[in-house]
Formats: sequence, C-alpha cells, structure tokens
Amino acid sequence: MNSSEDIPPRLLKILETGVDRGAERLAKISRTNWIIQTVSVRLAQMSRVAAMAENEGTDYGIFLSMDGGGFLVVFPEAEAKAMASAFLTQTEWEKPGSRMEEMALSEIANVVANAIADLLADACGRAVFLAAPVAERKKAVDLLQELPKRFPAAGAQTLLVYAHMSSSSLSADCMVAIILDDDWQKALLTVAEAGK
Amino acid sequence: MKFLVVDDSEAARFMLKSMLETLGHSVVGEAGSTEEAVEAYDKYKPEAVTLDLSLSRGNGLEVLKVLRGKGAVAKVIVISGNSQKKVQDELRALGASGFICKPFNLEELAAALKELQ
Repeated sequence: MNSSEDIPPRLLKILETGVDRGAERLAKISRTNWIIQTVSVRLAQMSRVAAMAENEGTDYGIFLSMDGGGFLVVFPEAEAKAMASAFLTQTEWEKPGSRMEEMALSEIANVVANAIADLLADACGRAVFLAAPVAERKKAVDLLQELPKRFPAAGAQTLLVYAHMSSSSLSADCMVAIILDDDWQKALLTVAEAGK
Repeated sequence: MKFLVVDDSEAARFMLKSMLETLGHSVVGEAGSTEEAVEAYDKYKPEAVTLDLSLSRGNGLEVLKVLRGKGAVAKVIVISGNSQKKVQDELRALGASGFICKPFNLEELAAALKELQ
C-alpha cells in the first residue's frame, strides 16, 4: 500500500481499515478474493482530482453522498457484467433493456461504501446515512471531474482517500474515492490524536 | 409471513423477494422511499417488514419512527450495509427485531427469520 507521509498514522490506519472492510464485503459478494493494490490518502485540491484517473475506457461510476462528503466507486464497464452477475446469481434479470446491471453495481457500491462509512462514523461517534446511489457511465476522468459538483460541501481542499482493488479470478478492478470535508477531517484528527 | 420489502435498489428487492419466497414467505408489497414505505404499510398491512436504511428519499430510521408513531406492530428486520453502532442502538430502541448486514446469503436470512418467529 502507498500512503501519504503527512497524514497521522492513526488516521491512516482508520482509513486503511475501512478500505480493508470494503474489500472484504466485495469478496463476499463476488465470492472471490480482492487485493488492495493502492491506498493513498492526501489533502487534495478538488479541482485536480481528475488527474488520478487511470483507465482510458468507459466506467460505471456510482456516487454516494453523505453529510460532509461522499464516495465514488468505479468499476470498468468491461468487467461490470461479471460483477453484476456475481451479485445477482439469478439469470432471469438478463432481459433486453434491463437496467439491472447498473442497479446491481449500485448496490455493490452501496455495500462497499457503507463498510468504510461505518468505520468512520463509529470512530467519530457519529451516525451517518449514505444517500441512495447515483450511477453514471463515463470515462474515469469525467467521473472524477464530477466530484466537486456532486460533493460541494467538501470545499476546495478535501481529504481524498483513493483505493484501488483488483480480483484476478474475476479479472475485475474497483476504485474508491472518499471525499471528506473540514468537519470530518477535524473529527478524524481528534480521534487520531486521542489514539496516539 | 407476509412481508413488505423496503429497499431503494430494485436489484436488492428482486433478490430479497426471491429469497423470502424460497423460504416459504410471501411479499405483499415493495417500496423504495420513505413515503412509499409508509403508504405501502398502510395499504398492505404486512406482518413483517424488511427495511433498508439507504432509501431514495429519507432513510430507514425515519420510516421506522413514522411506523411506530402510527402504532404499527409489524416485526421489522433491518437489512442494510449500514452497521454503525449509534444507528443500531437507535433502531433497537424503536423496536427493530433483527439485523442483517449486507451482503448476506440465504442461510443468514433464514437464521434471522427464525429468530423473528
């Protein structure tokens, strides 16, 4: 894992544990192991987050907002069907024009994001509800460019957690970006300081 | 038992309905938002409700508050990816009968329903 050096270790641990739990839930859904390849945590300019895009192709991006921030979970389109099928298991949903694939991916993103949100909320003694997922099919760079619009509360500078996970047996990737505003940053830093 | 399934995701409702029917229960109604859930409860009078916490408008905690405020006695099993301590404490105080953390399988659902009956 790669991590920013200027983030307090305890805070980094909380965020990395959240990503671990997200990967565990992803494994349970897809019945295959997921390897966390990268976790980077940084204070980022929202206007520059699009530079983190790695994939040139079309992706499914699922936005989930919460008070003071939110999540973007991204699956490459080419692998989306395998993910959706692993989740749904039944075959009856495969009918022309069905939006079930997008809905299944939204539900998977919801489960993964909640695993991380749970840990952040419990660490800070808060109750957090993620809004219903909103799915978009675009290039990764375009999805990341939407973050400031989707999460305006996060402000110009935000704590950005970027995680990249992959499953070799499913040939699938998943990217998670977590956006946290000033209030979240202060709460998490307080927890990090208290745990030193 | 006759169930009302409340979940913002059509895919999740589809799966849950299929699982409940496999286990010998019936699904009398479905809802994806707070308003739909309350309306569907009044319309179908289910014996039990499966309740997601992320809804398209509002959240499951609000649904449970409204239902209990109306004197609803149906058993409520919360099925959600949200397993936060503060949220679970509040749901328990409102009389939620069971919790299942997503993702889950048929065996986990069967075990939770057994506790419910």
